[in-house]
Amino acid sequence: MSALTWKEGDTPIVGEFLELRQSCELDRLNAGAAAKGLAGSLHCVTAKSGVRLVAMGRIVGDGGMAAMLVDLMVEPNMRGQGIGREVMERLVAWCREELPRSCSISAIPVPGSYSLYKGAGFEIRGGMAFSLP
Amino acid sequence: MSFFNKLKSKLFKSSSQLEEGLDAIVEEGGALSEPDAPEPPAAPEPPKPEPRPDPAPEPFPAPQDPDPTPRPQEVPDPAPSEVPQGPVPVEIPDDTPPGQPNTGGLLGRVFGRQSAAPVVRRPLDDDMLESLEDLLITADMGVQTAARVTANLAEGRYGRRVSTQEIKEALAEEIARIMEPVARPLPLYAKKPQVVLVVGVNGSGKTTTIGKLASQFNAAGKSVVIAAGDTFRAAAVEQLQVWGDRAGVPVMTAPQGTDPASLAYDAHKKAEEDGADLLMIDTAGRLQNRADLMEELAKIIRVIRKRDETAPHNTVLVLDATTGQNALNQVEIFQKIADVSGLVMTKLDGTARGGVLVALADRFGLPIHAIGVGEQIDDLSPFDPEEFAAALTGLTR
Repeated sequence: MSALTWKEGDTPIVGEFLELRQSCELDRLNAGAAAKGLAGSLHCVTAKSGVRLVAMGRIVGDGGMAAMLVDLMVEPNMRGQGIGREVMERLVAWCREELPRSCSISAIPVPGSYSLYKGAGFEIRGGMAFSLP
Repeated sequence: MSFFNKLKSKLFKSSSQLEEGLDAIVEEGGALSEPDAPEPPAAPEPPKPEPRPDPAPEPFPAPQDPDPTPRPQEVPDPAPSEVPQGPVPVEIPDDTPPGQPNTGGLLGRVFGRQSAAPVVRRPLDDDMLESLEDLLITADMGVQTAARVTANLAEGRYGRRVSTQEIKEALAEEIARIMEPVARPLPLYAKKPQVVLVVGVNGSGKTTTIGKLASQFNAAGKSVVIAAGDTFRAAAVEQLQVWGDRAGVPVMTAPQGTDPASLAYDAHKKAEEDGADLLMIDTAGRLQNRADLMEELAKIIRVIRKRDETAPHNTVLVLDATTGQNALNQVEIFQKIADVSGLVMTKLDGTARGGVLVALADRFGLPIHAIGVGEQIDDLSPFDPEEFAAALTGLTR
């Protein structure tokens, strides 16, 4: 595995973000929505292989009471190397460092990735969500 | 490899999406303007090749007038009707002079295959404008700038049937119009030494930029002194020394952790004694401790002004294009800390879409002194708005 360049704080460029989403077979997003969303991140962790964005994750929220871990993605051919775990660890470490003690961190993992979230301290609770059409 | 070849190939690689996106947008809901146009991937050789004796373009070709006036009712290239029906080359080989009728060099050759595709036209309506705006955002232009560029693009063209080529031309024209006023090299004054303070966050390519600029000024007959003012990072000092040795430029250093302001003072003294034309001062870029950094920069400026009241004559902010829209935040922050007089954009290769330069120009209007696309000395070059716009949009010239 070639060495990855990790970066904390900088959100990815909209184009590379959308490319990574696409390679992870996630729904297509409107670029304007993505730009707005990325700009509203509390924190972002990215990993690049050379100049290619291969993994990322973000924290969004109000910065005080509630935060959410979103867009945790690893490019399919880079999976199984612990990259997702490292993104997760860096994000959670940032939360512990920067967010107030009582802040609640939520996430909606895709099925199959629960153990990754559990390992980082998440526990299963009931919740609901929907996406605007 | 000349600089523009690099810019083209690198921006081409990264902006091919923009180009493909443009094609896709026009094709979606568009119609062929010729009923019997050839199959889509056709890349015909133009009928009357003008053999160009020298396939290698000059390093800095004079920008040609792209003739951006849209001609919506006119088929731009008569070629498709004379397509050789045999196997058509998808990519024109590098060593054969393709002789595009209006080629402007390698760019024309690289992008030539697009222009010869059958002309699909689509009315410029709200849907298309929205798709265009999205595409520009994807290219890192930022939401506001993308909206403005799209709005300007629509003016006078709304409702007309346009082809990809016309959209590219219009887009390139619009981008070049925004970039034109900011494309200004680092101004040189008669003042000796001219003090250039170089600021930017760590990892933006600040030190490398100083090395390259110093080498280039030195090669142009200017004598330069460098002050390695990032005294906290030993690596930065060493890196500058390597650049200095290579270029034959004296590099003033101080032990790690010492006061960069006193180094700047000494360097100014030396530059004055040596009769140097330029003094370039590297600075620290630890943004996470903004108060310290602000104080440090303020002190450097204060101390330098004791020797020359008009200094620093330029404060150049170095930005890493791969940080995307965060570059805009950095400009804002450094404008507060130091009086930024111009920008250098590095790492305009890889995944950088280049659109952030347009956003910067649109939002701040600060001069862009140079752009960098690689690690070599001549990979840092003056910024040419028309070349840039053409490379970004994939325009055939």
